[in-house]
Amino acid sequence: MKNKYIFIMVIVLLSIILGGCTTVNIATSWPGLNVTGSLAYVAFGNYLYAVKTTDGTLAWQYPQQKERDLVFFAPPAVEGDLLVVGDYKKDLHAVNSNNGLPLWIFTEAKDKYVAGALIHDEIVYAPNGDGFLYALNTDGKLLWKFRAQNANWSKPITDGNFLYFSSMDHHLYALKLKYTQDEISADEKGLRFGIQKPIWSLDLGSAIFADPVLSEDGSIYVVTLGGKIYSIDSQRGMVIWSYPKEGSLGGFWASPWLVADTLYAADQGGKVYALNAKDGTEVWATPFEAGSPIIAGGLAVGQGAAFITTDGKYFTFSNREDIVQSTQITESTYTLPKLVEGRIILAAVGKEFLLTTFNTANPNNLLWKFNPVEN
Amino acid sequence: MWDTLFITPSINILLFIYNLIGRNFGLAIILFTILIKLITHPLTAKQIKSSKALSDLQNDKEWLEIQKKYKNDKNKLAEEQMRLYKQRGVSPFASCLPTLIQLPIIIGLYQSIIQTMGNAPLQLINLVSRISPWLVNTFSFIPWLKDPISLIPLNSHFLWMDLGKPERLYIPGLEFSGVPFGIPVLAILVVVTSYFQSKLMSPPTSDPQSRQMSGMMNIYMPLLMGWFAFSFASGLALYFFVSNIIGVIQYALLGRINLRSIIPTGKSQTMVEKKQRVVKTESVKNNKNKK
Repeated sequence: MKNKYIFIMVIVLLSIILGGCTTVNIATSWPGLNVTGSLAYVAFGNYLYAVKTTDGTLAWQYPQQKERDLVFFAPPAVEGDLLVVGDYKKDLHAVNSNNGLPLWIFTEAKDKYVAGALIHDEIVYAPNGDGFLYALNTDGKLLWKFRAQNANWSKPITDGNFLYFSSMDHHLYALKLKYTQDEISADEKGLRFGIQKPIWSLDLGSAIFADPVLSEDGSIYVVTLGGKIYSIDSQRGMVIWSYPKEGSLGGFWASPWLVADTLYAADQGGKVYALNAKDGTEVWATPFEAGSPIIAGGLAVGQGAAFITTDGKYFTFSNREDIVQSTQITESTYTLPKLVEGRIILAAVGKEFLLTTFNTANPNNLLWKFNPVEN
Repeated sequence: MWDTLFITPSINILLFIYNLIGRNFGLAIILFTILIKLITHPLTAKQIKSSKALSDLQNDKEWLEIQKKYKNDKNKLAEEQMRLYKQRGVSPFASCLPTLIQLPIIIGLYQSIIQTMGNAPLQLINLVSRISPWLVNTFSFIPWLKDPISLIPLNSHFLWMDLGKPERLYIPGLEFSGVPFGIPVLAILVVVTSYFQSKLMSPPTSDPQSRQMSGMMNIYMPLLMGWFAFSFASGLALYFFVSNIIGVIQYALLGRINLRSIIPTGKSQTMVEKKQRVVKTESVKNNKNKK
């Protein structure tokens, strides 16, 4: 009898140890955020929430009832009444942005959606972890797809003429926004959806996770996990400048951000660099050290800029000497905040709240907090 | 502490092997498992030796005699057992100690494989933060070694498997109600190899309770391992499978494989029972002589 108990204890202990080693936590990513008009859309866990920016109350959630296998982390894309968000299984969901009613689901992809989609001129461009970038019409019908050599975890951008997207396969690609039937070749099933060649592609040496940024003069700014900052000519697909010239910085997860002629980039080591966007020369002789990793990145705020660290500290500055550290906003955040009418809307992964907002002039005063109620 | 001692070094060695052999993560797991088994081989050998000595002692005539003689006096039995342990130079815990030392290494190995195969943003951030360039710098004379960051994301495809996901082999035409049915080949292999490994390595014992427990372990442990292989990333299942195979080879090289125990009512038990019968007969004879 004693041996039986020992046996059961051994089995239970092994199950706990091995299970603990292997169980994948549901929070393998962070909230995806988008704000349009009076609603903030935040995708996190089993739901996509639409929250009123005025008072932080829930406008609607999708789906209505919890579906265990349905997990959202990608930032929702919104254009008019259409909201598109990818899940962590493999499906792209379209819902009405005003009420959350489902419109269609695109099920052809084979991996998770990490990046947000781009909706431009009635076409949805959705990058997926299976290596494909899918172009759909607004009814969810596949128009064409382009295959990169690895997962696509960053959102495409457009200048109105071409589509640019970066991939974990180390490349930045330029594609047309629309293709004629003659330009689309048959895929493995004989269906004519495949785009064989990009307009141009550029190998940047290591994986690209952060969304690229496009300037008004046609330069694309890309940062890599290998710790390089690039300025690329969008027309010719050539590197204008790279920083640093020799060696590399810490890995970049956050997109760079432009404030007038200055390009800011923040690395995983918590260093913030300020460069002249035109030629890549240093605006700051030494980077600012925030003391904690920066995954979310920063944004232009008024004449200055702001960024947030993963341990929830919000920094604002107008120049190198004027960096102000605010009080702690939250425990932990990885999501790029949004600026709407003088207010920052911020998504967090701590216990205190999922979403909050504050005036840029007074980050100490959180105007409301949204925390979803578990169904 | 745990991360610094076990997980981070394991991840870096795993990535180094991956880099060295041309970006094949399946092969990297196999080689890494072999490496770990080689490093821990002295401990395994010691454990096997101690386990054999303990098993031999428990089947010894004198041991069986004291079991019978003091079966109603637990204190005296324990005292006599300890005397016999000391006399024969056998430690009852000597076979456990090497296992206990290996346990953190094995758990660290599991964790490093799981973390290296992470294919979600937070997992990848965690992985990148653990990569240290010193391994590549140290071996910079190897021309094809690359900056480890440039290896990210890892190529997780091996044979028909995506090592970051549970394994299923889909055969065209094999469907269940119109839905393609995937065969969990690796999970089946893990169950089979775990069963054979535990059966081959179970030393014969005369103690019915130990025999019962060993029998239960031989059934339930392979099923438990099979469940893990079925449910979790196939990279881990690959590790289980390779580890089982190497374990059997290790035992075979040390000449400790107990082939007879594969058959539940095989000769190994019969031999023990024979010994018990001999002891019983001899004690009866002795009693008669005394009279």
